[in-house]
Parts: sequence; C-alpha cells; structure tokens
Amino acid sequence: MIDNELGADVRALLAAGRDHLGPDAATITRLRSRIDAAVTTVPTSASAAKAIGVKLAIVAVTAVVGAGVYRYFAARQQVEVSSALQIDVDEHVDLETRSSLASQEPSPPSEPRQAVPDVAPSAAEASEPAVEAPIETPAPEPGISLAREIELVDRAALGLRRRDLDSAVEALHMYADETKGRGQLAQDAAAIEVEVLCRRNDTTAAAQLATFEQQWPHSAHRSHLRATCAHHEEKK
Amino acid sequence: MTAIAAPMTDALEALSFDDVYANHVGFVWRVLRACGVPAEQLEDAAQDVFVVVHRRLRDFEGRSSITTWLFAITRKVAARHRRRTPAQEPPPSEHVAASDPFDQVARSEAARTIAAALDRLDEDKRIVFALVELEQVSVAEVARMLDINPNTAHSRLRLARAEFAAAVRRRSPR
Repeated sequence: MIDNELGADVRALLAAGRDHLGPDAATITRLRSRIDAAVTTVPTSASAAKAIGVKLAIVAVTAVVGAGVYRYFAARQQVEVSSALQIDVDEHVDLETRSSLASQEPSPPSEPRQAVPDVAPSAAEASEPAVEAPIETPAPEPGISLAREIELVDRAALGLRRRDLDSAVEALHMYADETKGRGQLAQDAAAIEVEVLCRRNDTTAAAQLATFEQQWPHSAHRSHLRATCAHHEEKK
Repeated sequence: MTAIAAPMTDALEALSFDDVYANHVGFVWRVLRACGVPAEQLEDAAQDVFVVVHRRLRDFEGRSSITTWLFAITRKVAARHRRRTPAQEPPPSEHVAASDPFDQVARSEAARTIAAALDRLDEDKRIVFALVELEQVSVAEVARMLDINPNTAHSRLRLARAEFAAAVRRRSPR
C-alpha cells in the first residue's frame, strides 16, 4: 500500500531542516556582492544590458585583432549584434554564466564557448574577407561611439523604469539625432520608444508596435512589448 | 514621436531588486537544489539567476506570481549548470545559523536527511515535492509553473510524498 501521507515525523523533519537547505547568512552576503559586481560591470537597465554584454565581447575581440580585421568586424557588428540581441533567457544565462565563471576562476581552454563565437567570427570567417576586401566594407558610423549609444539607451531605459517618460523620450531623441538612424542599438531604442508610447496610451502606439515587429520579427523584445501594450490598452 | 504626459502608477514597477533578492534567495537556492544543481555549483547558479533577474526585472509584468517568474528563470539556469557537470552525490549541508549547538546539529542533520531523501526522487517528483512541501506553493500554482495538468501535479506529489517518507524512514529507522 502506498502511503501518501507524510506523517507528523516527516513533517517535523521538513520544518526543522527546511531553512538549512537554503544559503546561510554569509553565503547570502557573499552572493549579493558577486551579483553586484557582475551587474555593475555593465549598465543595468534591462533593455540595454542585454546588448552590452554582447558589445563588450565584441570590443574584446576587436581589441586583439589588426586594423584590417577590425574593419571587417565593425561591418559585421550590426548584423551580429542584432541576432545576438534576440537571445532568450536561456542563452542570456549562458552568457552570464560564462562571464561570471571566467571572472572568478580561470577556465580551461576547452570550456564550452558558444555565445562568444556567436558574436565573434571564426578565424576562417575573419581571415578571408579581411584579406580580400577589408577596404570595401563600410566603416562604422563615425558620428557616435558605441559607449555613447549605450549611455543614451541606458538613460532612456532608466527613465522608463522610473516612470519618467519625458526623460526617456529626451534620451531617445538624442539617440535619434546622434545616430542619424544608423545606431547599433536601434532595436533597443525602438523597443523603448514603443513601450513609452504604449504606456502613454499614445494613438500611434499600435502602429509603432507593428512597425517594430515588421522590422525585427524575431526580436526578444516582442513578447514584452505586446504584453505591455495590451496591458495598457486594457487600462484605457 | 508624440509625447503626451500621463504618469503611470504601475505598482509593479516599484518591485525592487533588493526586495526580490532578500525575499527569494532561499527559494532560488532550494529550487536549484531540487533541479539537481550540484551543491558546489549552487552559488554560481544562484548568481546567474539573479544577474538575469536584475536585468530583466523591468520586463516582469506581474501577470504571474514573482515565484513563478523566478522559477522559470531558475529552472533554465539549473538546466544549463546540470548539463555542464555530471551528477554527483550531494554533500551534506554546510549551513550554520542556529545559536544552540545541539539545535544546530539537529537541524543540519535534518537538512542532510531531507537532501538525501530528495535525491532519491526523480526530478519530476522532486521539483513538485520541493515546491509544495518546502516552498509552500499551491499544487495549482505548481501545475502552472511546470505547465502540466493539475491532476498530474497531484499525482506526482502523492507519489513523491510516499517515496520521500519511505526514504526518510529508511535513513532513520525507529
């Protein structure tokens, strides 16, 4: 006969041991420090943060290659980042995990490295065009640095998070002015813009969302934007 | 872009990372254990969970409970960590908190017994059992978290309780 009741003794055991199955106070404190260190290495607003981890990887890669290869990388950056931004939580975690582990304990060379190769071209990919056509590939937009893009998108995201929509809009306007429509974080900026419109119940919000979905049909922002816009539509 | 001021009063946006961490770090830790993350990787895995939480908290719309949302993230992180390392025998709990040394030993021993008994359950049952019996999540909510039929959740819980109790009694015969 299957005993499907736990019984008082087992329940008492669970009550006694439950808290000890969790982290102790020292671990909680240490873990919090580790998290703070991990999240302060990059700006923390959600929309920009996903991109920034990838961007830092790109910067690291481009720092160690020659100038010719750099041009090739820069030309590829827009495409690579766009696809890398469409990672789901699973892939996002993978990036985080590896970066955090790498920062704490040296990983052997055989440590799986899926996310970084997704961002950086393979040696074969990089060498071929770098030799044959590095000059023809367009140089990165000189008007605005990646750091500046990150700063502006982060500012917009922060404004959104603090419900300071005017501040978010101001940052987005600056982003649009400075990038002239050629920003590498255009998708993130557009996502924030759509969210601002939805939160303001702007009449153009639905159209902007449709445009966003048309432009980035596989964007990781889609589900969040749809949910947000639907939520605010209901509250009208 | 048009910009008509309309301040929002979405209480969810007041949900701070500090609160989420303080209130749910134990939940995340225990779920990671229940999902089979080796003890020596729990801290790394918990860090990964909360880094994601930190970056995605803005996306949390409150359409599910915060524990459901955390569970989804935690489960994915756990799967990643588990794939990277072979399964190992869980080491005893190292938790030290109680002021009374006898009580502390008893609680540590209880935790070891629970961990050993949990380890004897298969993962499907272990997760349901841990959520219901350790985290006090309702069976209906567990069914939603796991995207399974409530009857399935009930069935897993019933079997898990039986197996867990048997494992405990084998370990501590009276």
